[in-house]
Amino acid sequence: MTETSGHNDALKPVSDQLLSTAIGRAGVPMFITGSWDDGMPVLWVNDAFVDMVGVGAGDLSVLGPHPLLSLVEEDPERAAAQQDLIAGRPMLRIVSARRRDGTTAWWQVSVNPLPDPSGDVRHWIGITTDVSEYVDRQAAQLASLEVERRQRADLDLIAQSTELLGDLEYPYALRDIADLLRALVPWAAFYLNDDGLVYAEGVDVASPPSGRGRRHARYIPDSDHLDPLGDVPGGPEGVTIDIVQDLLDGVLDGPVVLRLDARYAPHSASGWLRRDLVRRVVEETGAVPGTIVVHAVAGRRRVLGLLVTWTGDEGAEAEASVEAFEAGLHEPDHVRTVVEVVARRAGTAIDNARLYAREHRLAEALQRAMLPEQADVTGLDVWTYYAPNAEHAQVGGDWYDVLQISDGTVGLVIGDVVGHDVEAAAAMGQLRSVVRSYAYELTTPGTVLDRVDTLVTGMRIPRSASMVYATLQHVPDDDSWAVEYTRAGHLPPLLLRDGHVRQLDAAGGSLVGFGTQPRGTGSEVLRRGDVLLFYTDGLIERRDRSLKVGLEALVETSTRVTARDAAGVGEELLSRLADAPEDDVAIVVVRVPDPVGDTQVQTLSPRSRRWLLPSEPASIGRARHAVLRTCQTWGLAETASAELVVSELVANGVLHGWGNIALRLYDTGDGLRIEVEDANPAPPVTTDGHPNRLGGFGMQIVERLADWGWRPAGSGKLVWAKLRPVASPPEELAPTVPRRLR
Amino acid sequence: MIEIATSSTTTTLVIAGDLDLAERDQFPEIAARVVGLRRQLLVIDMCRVTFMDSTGAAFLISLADSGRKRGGATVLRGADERDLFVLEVCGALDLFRVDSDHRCEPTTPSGGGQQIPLPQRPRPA
Repeated sequence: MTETSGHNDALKPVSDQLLSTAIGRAGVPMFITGSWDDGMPVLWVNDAFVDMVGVGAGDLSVLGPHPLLSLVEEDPERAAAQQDLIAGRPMLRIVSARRRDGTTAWWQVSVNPLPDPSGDVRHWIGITTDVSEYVDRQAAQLASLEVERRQRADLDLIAQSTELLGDLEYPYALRDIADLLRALVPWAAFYLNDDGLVYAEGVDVASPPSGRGRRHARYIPDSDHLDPLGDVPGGPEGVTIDIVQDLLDGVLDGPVVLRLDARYAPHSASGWLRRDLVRRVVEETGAVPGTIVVHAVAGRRRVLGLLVTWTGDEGAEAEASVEAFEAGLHEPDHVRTVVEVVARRAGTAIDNARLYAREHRLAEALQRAMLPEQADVTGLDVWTYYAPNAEHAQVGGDWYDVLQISDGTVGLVIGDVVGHDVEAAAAMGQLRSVVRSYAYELTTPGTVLDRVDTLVTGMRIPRSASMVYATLQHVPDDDSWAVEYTRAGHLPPLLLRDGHVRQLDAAGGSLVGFGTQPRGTGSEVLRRGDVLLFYTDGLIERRDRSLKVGLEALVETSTRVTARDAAGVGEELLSRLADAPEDDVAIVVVRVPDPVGDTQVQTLSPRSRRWLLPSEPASIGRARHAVLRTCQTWGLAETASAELVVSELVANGVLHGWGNIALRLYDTGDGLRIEVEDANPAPPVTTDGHPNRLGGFGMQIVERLADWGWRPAGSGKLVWAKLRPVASPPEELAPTVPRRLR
Repeated sequence: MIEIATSSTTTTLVIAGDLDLAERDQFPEIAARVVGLRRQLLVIDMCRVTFMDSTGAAFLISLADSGRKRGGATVLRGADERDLFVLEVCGALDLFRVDSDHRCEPTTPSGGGQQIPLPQRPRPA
């Protein structure tokens, strides 16, 4: 700095004089002090220092040792920084100090030792720079980052709780949301008003969507922390107003703050909540809460429950808390906002779930009541199929009935009410009952239909209908069955015998309710191996061909049927005819088992089967029976595991599924493939012991015996399982797999 | 069909037929009665069980579990290998003492109430 090279005058070395003037006039405040041991007296300051701080070296000299410290504010890092000075090392740090105009500023102070020729540090030079702007900007950035982070956290919390609310069947949905909220407040919990307040970890969707109840009397064990307050047993003196009930009644919008050191009337919502909550908070946190903030969890029409948060105050602070709450200072704004949003979303979700569950139960119950049923009849192999083609309903106008009228006598009905909407289904339901009741009383089909005609004429059933009614009577002498039947405007049943097909077209008549003359009765004899086929026009009706052509196609298809079981006959017909049904389809296949012939003939029938089962526990056993029989027909060995897998899959369908359950079996040549379809789109779960699902091990059993998966199908899902071939059980299972499973 | 018989130390549960979801409605009552008897030993006779799935297994597990909580033991007899497999998948085999020496009677009903003989399952040799 003092040396430059060159010949120009302007580049001559700077003189000491010029240097001291330059430092004295420099724009940055500078100072020179004495040594640390002398208390660092300020010996000299430049003009800028005086300008900025408002004091000169003379003013500072009267302040005693370390006069500069009086200019800066106390900070925790001072002692550490002074170690540099004591050791004679340069020091650089940022301190806060007052400017001459009284404002506070941030200074970056750089102090460097000026050693004398002997190396002792007897002087220091200090340079200070005003860095207030940078410090403030950085602080602002940090602050805004913090705000952003908090907002993100809040949004994340809301998103997570929304996700939890999406599956209210999960029994701990509300508990998990409360856990999330405990990131914001020390304690949070949901209470639902299901006929009186109750602490809620999950939502009972089967509860009515009301949130009713004014008597909150569920038992709560005594808590030591409440005595001697207790609820006031009699009159209203000294009783605090029941704000929680007001919140539940919708009188208040909330949130409200509830004092836990006040007295409430017995069975009051506030009193109940106070007792339950103090016990829980004390158990979980050890602190006795002073107040709580209560948000209403509101549904569409009513308040369904409460979301309660405790902000962490203790009993003695209750009064102050209430004041703070009223001033809006009780908790940060964002906390209240988040809790409010969560409470509102929970209310909507619970309301929706309950309303939906109610509608769903109603529709399910009605539909199930309408669906055809199949009684198991002894001595006959019966397979039934029913596929409503309605988009919105599980029911249509077609129906069938298989009735065990008495020992050795079976009644069979197949019918079709015009149309396939809900009204058709309702008409079908009435008609079915009428036919049933006469069928049990009378046996001759013509007579039964006469009675039905008479009654239906008076009932004003709004839709016309066709049907076939037949009775089958067992003749033990030669194990044959005597068939009697009558038809009311319905397509003729088919009799399949040894590759020949005959239409049972006797005893025809007009539609149900239009019988002007007595109904006739046709008769036939079924022998072993014979198949009787009842169907509705949906099986053969296509827009591009007449019914007559359709019937011919059915007859032609039937002659080619080779299956030796009723389900197989049905499968062959469906696979060739009902590829794209335009109407409801109902089919009943009755086969007289042939103990001799059935085992001899190797059939060419397709190795797939299907059944439609109503969603009821009895279907599980029926499905097992179907699998057993199919495995026998196909000569498959893995019946034991097939039974188990089918049982678990169908049980899942009955428990968690909606609507009918479709069961399909395929012989892949490499193990049996089982498909179970229901109308619930939610996938199956393999959790080990889902808390509210008894067992919960069903899918684990399936997993051990089969490869399985699922996919969406229609409006629901299809779960499939392919049994592992019997020849090679996985080694790890070897010690435990039953012998019959191998 | 589930029958309960009891002696001073033992409760015996004789189960017949299918043990699946269709039978679930009667489980709570039977469990309550078994627990109410407070016997040290519970014997579950499975000789005439035709089928058991995870729902049925869960019922047996709940019985054995509540017995164990009181310090009692549960003996399983006449269970076939498939039943044991189901219990094993449920992770509950160690709740039971499996009586592998028990020989089920061929056809005669063991209880008094059973009229129709149920199909007998093949027993492991």
